[in-house]
Amino acid sequence: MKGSLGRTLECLSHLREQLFGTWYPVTLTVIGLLSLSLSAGLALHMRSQEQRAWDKSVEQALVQHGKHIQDSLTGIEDELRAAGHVMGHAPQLNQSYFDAIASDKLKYYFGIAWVDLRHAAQPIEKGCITIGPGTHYVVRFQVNQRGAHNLVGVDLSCDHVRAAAMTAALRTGQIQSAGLVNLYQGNMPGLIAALPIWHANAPEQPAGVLLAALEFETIIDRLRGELINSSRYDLQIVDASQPGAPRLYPLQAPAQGMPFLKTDLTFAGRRLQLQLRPGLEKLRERDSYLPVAIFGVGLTVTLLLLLLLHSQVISRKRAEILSIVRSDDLVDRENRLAALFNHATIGIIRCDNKGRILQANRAAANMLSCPETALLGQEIPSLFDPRSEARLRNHRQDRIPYVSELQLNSMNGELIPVTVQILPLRSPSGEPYSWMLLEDLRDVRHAERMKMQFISTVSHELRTPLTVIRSSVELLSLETLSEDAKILLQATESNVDRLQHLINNLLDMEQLQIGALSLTQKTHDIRPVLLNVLELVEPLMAQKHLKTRFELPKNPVIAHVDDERLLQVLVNLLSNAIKFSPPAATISLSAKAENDYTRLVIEDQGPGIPEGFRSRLFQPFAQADGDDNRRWGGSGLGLYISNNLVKRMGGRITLDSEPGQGACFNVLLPADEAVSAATVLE
Amino acid sequence: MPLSNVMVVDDEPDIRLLVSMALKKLGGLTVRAEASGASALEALSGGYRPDIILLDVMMPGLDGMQTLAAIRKLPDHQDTPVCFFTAKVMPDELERWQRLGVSRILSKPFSPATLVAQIKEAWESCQKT
Repeated sequence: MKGSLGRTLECLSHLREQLFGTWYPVTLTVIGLLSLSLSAGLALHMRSQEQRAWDKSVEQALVQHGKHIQDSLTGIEDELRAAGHVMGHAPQLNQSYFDAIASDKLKYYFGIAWVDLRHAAQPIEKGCITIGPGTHYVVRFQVNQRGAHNLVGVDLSCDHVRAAAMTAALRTGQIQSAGLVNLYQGNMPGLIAALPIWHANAPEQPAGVLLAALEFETIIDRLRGELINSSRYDLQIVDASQPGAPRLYPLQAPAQGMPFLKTDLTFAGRRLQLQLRPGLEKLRERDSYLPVAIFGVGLTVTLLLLLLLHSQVISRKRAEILSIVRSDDLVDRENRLAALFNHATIGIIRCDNKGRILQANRAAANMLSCPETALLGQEIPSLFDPRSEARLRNHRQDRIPYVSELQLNSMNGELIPVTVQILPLRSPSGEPYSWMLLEDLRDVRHAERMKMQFISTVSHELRTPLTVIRSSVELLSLETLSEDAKILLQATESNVDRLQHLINNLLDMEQLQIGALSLTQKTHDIRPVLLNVLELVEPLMAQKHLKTRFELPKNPVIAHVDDERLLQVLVNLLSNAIKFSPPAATISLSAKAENDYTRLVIEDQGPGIPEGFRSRLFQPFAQADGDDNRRWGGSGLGLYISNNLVKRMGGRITLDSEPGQGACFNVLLPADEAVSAATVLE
Repeated sequence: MPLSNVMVVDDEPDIRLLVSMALKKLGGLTVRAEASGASALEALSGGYRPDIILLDVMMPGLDGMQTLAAIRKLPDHQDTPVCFFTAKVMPDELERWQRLGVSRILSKPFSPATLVAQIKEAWESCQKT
């Protein structure tokens, strides 16, 4: 699973390399910037589109709104004029007639009143309306429920008449205050409409005035819910026919920006204007999050790309460094291995599973007296002498580590003894191969020969003086001597014997090791040898007061042996038994025929052979411990020589010993020549 | 006729002395000792006729083998028993020596008594044949 993911990533990376190559970081940067600018552009475009759509909808709403307000105003004016016309032709123009007409007109008005001017010489107060004298009329309007007095003059006939009336009224003090006649004043959001009524019976002067207080609030409130949510903007109505266009609605408006949309209204011949100014929440509420979201996405994509670029650059850099480090490391390791391989003093050969040489070092080539390249492709077994070759061919099948001493067949015809070590291995792909290590044994063999030569020479050179000493002592002992001189001579003789024994052993060992020891074996009764042995060791036994248990078999004991060497073996074994027996102990010797062999058993009552020493028992110069060596003397060659002599004769020596219970050596001798020959061959 | 006259050829003076002494004292024999193969040949060709000759194998100048070959060329000594005296016996040499008519190989070191016995034995076996 992990592997397949890894491979996929590898493929992607490869594809990327193919597509972009080294321009990859640049490409990534360009894509990032493009995505950022695209998203920003798109966001701005959407933002302006939205703004335009919104503006359009607001404009439409305003126009519609204006149309509705205008309709209301036109309706009011028409109604007032209609009412004025009716009152102008009324049969009895009075308050009750007005009441009958106006009763159903109240829905748009704050108030509606009839001021009869035919009988009023003084300013009058009627209801909530105060009216001045003359043809001019100034109205004091008491707003119901709100309690504030507002002076509002409304002239629905013409402006200059109204202005003169106002001035006159102020001069006479008939009115409390005056100014330009506004449709609106004070804190009442509305306007007063006044319509002079000329009655058909007295057309020379107005009979009175019909007053109506309009409330914008009522008109706009009714529309607001339907058209525009006023929290988005400020809707204002101003008197456009007045300088400075004073605001009529609303009374208290927050100081906002300039009007961005206007629509004209007319009421009773006066120009009003409906204006829209930006409100506090206008943009905020209408704002869509989509452009922001798009820009955010673009920004995110850019950031991600930059992040990716960064990580790519970092990882590429790291990979470069790692690859440099790795390749350095590999080269270093390769060099070290190559140096080891080329300069090793042992021969090293690598071969495939069919035993063909893939690689060989200088040492291996030197052993085979040919250049390294000449070895490549050759079969391993063919490098060896026929016997070794056969052994190697047998081995190759089981492919387990292998160590053996074989002989290389060098190109110059020389046979080279080598230790061969084969290490079977597998390559990472599972292909079997092996390393073969060749250790040249020529120097070892040479050293062994030198050692033997040394032993031989030394032994020979020792023998001559020893002969002289020995003979002299023997001849001297024939003379008449003092007791002291005799004792000294005995000591000299026994030490000469010991020295001679050692030298004989060394020479025997040499002969055995070089295979030069000759035996004269015959098949015969060995009972005389046994008797002879006992005779020879008798003096030693006597010294330690040891007893012998030996029954001479009645029947001949037949063995195929060299008498002298058998004697040597038995003397050796018995000497050991004597050496290690406690005083007055018993040593037993027995002989019996067993199938193809004759078994001689020598048993003592000494300390036995320690467990740890048994494996080394028959090795040259072996002693159980140094202490014994000093206590008992001896070179440690006796058992080695005895064992080898018996082996050469076709027999064997085995040990049967429990520590503390004495040692028991079994000497198995071949019963006849055939057995001997068969055993030696084995 | 008993053994009476023995020739000893050895380059080692001590060996010559001891062998001579042993043979004289223990065997009651007459001994003539020579220090080299050449002087032995000189004596033999000068008319000296020992009953048996003891030759050291390893000698400077003419060694045992060469001396033996030279002795066998002397008309009077083609059958004179010859014993070899050696500290080191190689199996292949043994056979060769026997082919050349060496009666006995006496090993060093030797015991004087054994030596006398061996020489007498060798001489006697030669007499029988």
